[in-house]
Amino acid sequence: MDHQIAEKRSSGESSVSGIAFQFLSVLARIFIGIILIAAGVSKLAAPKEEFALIIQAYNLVSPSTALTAATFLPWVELFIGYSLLAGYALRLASLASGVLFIVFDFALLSLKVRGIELPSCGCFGASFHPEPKIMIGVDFFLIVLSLIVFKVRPIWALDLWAGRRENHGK
Amino acid sequence: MKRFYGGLIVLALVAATGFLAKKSRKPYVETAPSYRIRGAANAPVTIAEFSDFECPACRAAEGPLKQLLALYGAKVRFIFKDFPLEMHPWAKTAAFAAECVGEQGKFWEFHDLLYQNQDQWVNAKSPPQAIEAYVKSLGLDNAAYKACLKDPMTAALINADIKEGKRRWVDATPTFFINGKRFIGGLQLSALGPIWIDKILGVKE
Repeated sequence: MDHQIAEKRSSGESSVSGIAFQFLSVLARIFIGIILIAAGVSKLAAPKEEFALIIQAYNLVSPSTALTAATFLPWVELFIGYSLLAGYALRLASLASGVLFIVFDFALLSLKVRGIELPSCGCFGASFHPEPKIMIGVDFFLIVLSLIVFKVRPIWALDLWAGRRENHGK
Repeated sequence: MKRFYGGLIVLALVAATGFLAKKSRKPYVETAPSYRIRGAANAPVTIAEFSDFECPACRAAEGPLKQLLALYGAKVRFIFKDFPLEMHPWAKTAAFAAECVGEQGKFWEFHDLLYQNQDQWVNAKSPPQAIEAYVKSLGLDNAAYKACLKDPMTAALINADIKEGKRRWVDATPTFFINGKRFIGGLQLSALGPIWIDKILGVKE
């Protein structure tokens, strides 16, 4: 036992492996995955110019960058969402989702700072219209969930079937 | 190898979902009271305009819009939606009047009168009185008109359009939606509108 602890310490592993945490991590994965897939689908179900217009309303990037982001972001959301649901490249996927929600939160907070009023956050295209101030809290919650997935050793994941180890622990 | 198959499964799910999402795109169903709709319900093309009677750009867009409607005739249905901007103090008054004139079947005559004489009534000493004068010139039932102005349904109709416009990220007038695709201003409508309509109708160059 002491030998195992010493081995863990020396390898710098920081994963959490309690069964309760592992179940929590699965629930977090499912929740984030569904949110990201819903966001991706709702954006893809409308012309990309509509989503580009929403990105432009944030006044953070040029129109051409907004159009590029509007083209790729829904696919990125889908990819991360499915990776989390399936448990594929989990550590990377949870890191990516965390970064994504940090970027979204930064954009939403910048609206507040600059006094820009938008009718909705535009996170779900034309299908669902949450207010920016609500989404600031939701995104923060999703960042915390991403961190849980990042830290906790996975169960019920494609990674385990594929024998992938990403420093989640043994 | 298993790792590769795992990636392939995720990619297949992403591609299938994206394909289905794109396939599920439906043209937005535009609604409005019948007096604000021109053209057949089964026309393949629907143009919806979010407009403001006091806005000069909306007046300027009237020419290109009418040309487009004449060009495509029965293939196009046109819907007018109220989007009075807060910066225009009399736009809402004009919108209320137009609704109540519309109730009596003269929406389009009044719509044309307001745009053709925009400079006069906007710069009149009392714009509401100038608007009233146009209403009177149409020979309507005055009692019904006055009752309509006070009817909460009239305000609800206008507010519903404003709410819908905000939900669809309209922040400038005129904004047109041709089968759901956005065109801002008369210039964009006349330059790019026909290309999009031809694409919808399957017209080959």
